[in-house]
Amino acid sequence: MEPIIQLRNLEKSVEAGPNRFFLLRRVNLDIQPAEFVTIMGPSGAGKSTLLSIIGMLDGAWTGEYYFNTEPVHRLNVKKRNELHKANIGFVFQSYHLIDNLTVFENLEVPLSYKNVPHKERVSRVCDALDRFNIVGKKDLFPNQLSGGQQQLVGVARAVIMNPKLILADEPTGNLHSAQGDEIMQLFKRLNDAGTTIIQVTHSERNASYGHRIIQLKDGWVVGETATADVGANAAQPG
Amino acid sequence: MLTIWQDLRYAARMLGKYPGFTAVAVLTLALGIGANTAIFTVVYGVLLRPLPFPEPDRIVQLAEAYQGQSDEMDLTSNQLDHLCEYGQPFEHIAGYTDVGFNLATANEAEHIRGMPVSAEYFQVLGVRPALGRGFLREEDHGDGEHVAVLSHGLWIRRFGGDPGAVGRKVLMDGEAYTVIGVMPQGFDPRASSELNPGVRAEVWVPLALVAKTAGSGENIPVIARLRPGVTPAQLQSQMDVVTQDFRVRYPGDVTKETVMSFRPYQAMIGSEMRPFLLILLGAIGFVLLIACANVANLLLAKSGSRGREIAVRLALGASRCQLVRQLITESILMALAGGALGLALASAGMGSLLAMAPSTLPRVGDIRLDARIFAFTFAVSLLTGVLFGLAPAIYATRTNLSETLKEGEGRASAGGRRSRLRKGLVAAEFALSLVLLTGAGLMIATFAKLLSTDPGFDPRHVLTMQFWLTGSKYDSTRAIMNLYRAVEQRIEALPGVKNVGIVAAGLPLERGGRKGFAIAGAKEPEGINANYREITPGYFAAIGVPLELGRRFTEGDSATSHPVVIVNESFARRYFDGRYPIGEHVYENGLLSEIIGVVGDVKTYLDKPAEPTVFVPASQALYATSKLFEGWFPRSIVVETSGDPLTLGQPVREAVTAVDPLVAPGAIRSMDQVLTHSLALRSFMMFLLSLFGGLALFLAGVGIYGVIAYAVSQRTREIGVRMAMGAQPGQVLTMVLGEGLKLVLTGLLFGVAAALMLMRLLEGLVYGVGMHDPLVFISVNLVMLFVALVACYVPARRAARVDPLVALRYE
Repeated sequence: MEPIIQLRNLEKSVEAGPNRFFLLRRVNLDIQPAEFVTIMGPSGAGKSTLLSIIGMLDGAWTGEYYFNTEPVHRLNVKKRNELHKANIGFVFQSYHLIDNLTVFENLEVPLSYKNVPHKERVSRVCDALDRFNIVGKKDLFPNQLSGGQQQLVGVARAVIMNPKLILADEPTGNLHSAQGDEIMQLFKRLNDAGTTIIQVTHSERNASYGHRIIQLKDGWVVGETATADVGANAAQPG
Repeated sequence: MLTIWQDLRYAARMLGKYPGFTAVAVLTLALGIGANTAIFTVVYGVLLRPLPFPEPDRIVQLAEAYQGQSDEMDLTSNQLDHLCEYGQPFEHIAGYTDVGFNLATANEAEHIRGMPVSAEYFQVLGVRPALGRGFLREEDHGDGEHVAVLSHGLWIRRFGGDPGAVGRKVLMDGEAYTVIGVMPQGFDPRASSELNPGVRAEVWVPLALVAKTAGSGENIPVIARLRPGVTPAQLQSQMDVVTQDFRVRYPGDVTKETVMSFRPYQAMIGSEMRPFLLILLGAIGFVLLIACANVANLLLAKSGSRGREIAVRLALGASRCQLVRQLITESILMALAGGALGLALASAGMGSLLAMAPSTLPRVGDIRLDARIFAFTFAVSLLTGVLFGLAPAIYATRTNLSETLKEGEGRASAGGRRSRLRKGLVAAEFALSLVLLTGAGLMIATFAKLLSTDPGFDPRHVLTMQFWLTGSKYDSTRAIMNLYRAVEQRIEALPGVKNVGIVAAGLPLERGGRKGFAIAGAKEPEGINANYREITPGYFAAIGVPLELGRRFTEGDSATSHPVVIVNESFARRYFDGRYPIGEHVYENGLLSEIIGVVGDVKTYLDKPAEPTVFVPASQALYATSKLFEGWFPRSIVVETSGDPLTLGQPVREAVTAVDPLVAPGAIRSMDQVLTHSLALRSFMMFLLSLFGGLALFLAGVGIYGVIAYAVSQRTREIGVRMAMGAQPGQVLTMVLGEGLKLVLTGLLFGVAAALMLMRLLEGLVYGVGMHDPLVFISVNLVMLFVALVACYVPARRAARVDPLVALRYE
């Protein structure tokens, strides 16, 4: 099976006065469909930058990036946006729900940007509300929800387009452990159902939900380990 | 459709979420759009609203014009007759002129505006009388028949709306006219009248009645209705033929320098006001641009706080185009709210605006808010929404997604670019405001100059009352003099009256009669065209014109005595060039009249030098000349009073009525009011340009305040650090003020350059000050700098009071 993501010699740098400062260096990485990959590393290692590039939010890099064999590095911005819109869902540490929209409307946003007809939008949002057990919250605004509930909506919003790939940047960083576990189990279920997931986290406990850990340091990929090798302290999904 | 609806719903919610922001933005836009709506309503009514005649675009005015110039001259009745021979392009052709009539009723008289018109006048306009008929060719032939078509208003007033009025007689200027028709209600040919500005014509008579008289027969505007399908090119080639023909037939009138020209009737009406109205429209357009810049600035500031939302939407798959559309929807919604409020403001202010308008403003009846104006306001609101919303929307979506999302609470990463744009907008606001204020400054300086200009007489404590004499009773100079004496005697007897005089053919500061003279004994006797006034002996004393040489008229200067005249200084200077004018003679109406006195110059137009003027004693005036001028210019009683002149208005009127109730009274005004009236257009322009300039300055002040206040709020931490490092409050204050002033000075620099270029548009309005008057430019710059300083001082003081401990915890 072809990998869903292939990165070849991917580099990202920024100008810093007369010098060039590399955020990512010669990153080579293959991620298979339905894989659950964790990116780890110290602050400033380039984790979120890598996630942004994989998520096609950042187009200023060099190297090769194939998404489902599609050469992203050769696509123009419009095509890249289409590819991103069709295949990728995001979950953020700060949830990033839109404050002035209700839960229902927040879930509707990605569908509306893909010009999904109104009737279908309503039906898919209702399904998601039902599936994530948040029907009772549909008319509430984000500031009326707890952190866990907000992230639940964040995940629901990420999956509502049935993406092939979900990118999660510290998805439980702002949650207490019980809420965090709930979200991670949700990811696990989605992954079991076939969705590829890449998460960035500092938490080994969260990393243990995945299949593989990519270690980054100073922009370099410094190691890859299967989850089974993660230390014995890591909790296992229940 | 659904997406638009959804965008609108979100937009409405966004606006509701920030009521303070929305209120400020909507109010700013309402001021800009409302003022634009009001001025456009005037411009549309005067210049653009289609005339209420069938196929108005087929009506043209034919005139003689200097090649390559737009000033046009009326034609003579002979030329009109010949033009009728060129039937091909014209379905109908007609001439008209303007006179006043005294309409006598049982025991009083009223003065009405009348129009002698040629037979096809109503056909040219395409309007038939509602009752009776229009003129027949034979009625407008030879000396003309005494027949009249009445306006609907006069018919109601004079005949109580009786359909049997047709065929009955009306007595005008002592002569009986048979009523042959009544025009429909609201009929107004909109032919502007220099003699009766703002007064509607109420009666139409055949042009032939006046066509052979001097003056009337030589100043005939000609209009024509083109045959269907006649193109401007066809008409032009026809007019070229007419030009060649007229150069042969009328070599004295149509010369090599002049051509026969045409232009749409609609364009002719209001053409004199066109440049001024367009200046106002341009000026108010500047105010709208400033309002847009202000709201754009507010949006740019706000987009900083919406960076996260926008980044999230982009991350969720929104295209930039979709986001820009949504942000523009918010702007447009805000602009539409501003437009609706602006429309209400314009509607409320329209009455006051028109009350201030000079009486020379034509088509005032056509100035009204209607569906077309609503459409204009709607379109301007939409355009405004896009204009002020587009740049902030584009900037808002040009965010660095990964950075913004990483920052969590969405601090703008395009802050630098946004800040530059905001500063640029404020500088532009100051530049535009400077142009407006300079215009206003030049108008104020002009007005001050005019007010300090000596009109040649003392307008204080002088009352005037216009009147017209009914024809048959006053059929000789003697009869007129008897009335004059009786009226003067009664007025002299009123308490508070110091001097009384009567003048015919024009008051100072108003248009008046001109007439041909010749200097007796001149080596090269040339025809002189000078101002002509008939006066009673008390006139100069009553109006306060000083006698420079010789003597004034006395009761002894009678119809039987030696003919005498008094001239003004300009006349003496121009035609006697250093010679002593007293005892010299001028030919006036073939009579040799001795110059017995020279009086000071009195101005007809404050901004122009006094014109040579000849004063004739009313007792020696030719009756025919006197009556001719009365058709255009009212006679005026001039009363010098010891107190407030207007308190004597009613007693003076009663004194006239007591002598003869059939004397038609006109306006009763103080000479101060006449002076004010002569400045009406400039006063109107000065007031509006000052208002717009003030509004612009206020908005620019708010704009710079907003930018500096925002910059201070963004830099609170930096300022805290500086203070922790030892910066003194005064240094912080100077730093912030300096930043604001740098912006303002940039704006003023561009503004001065633009003003230097644009001020020539005011050329026709400015008097006594240079178009680039340094005093005006310096004053305006100082005022703007002061406002900017005040606007920047408030946030600068806040910055200087930052507590380092609090500031360093700010983030």
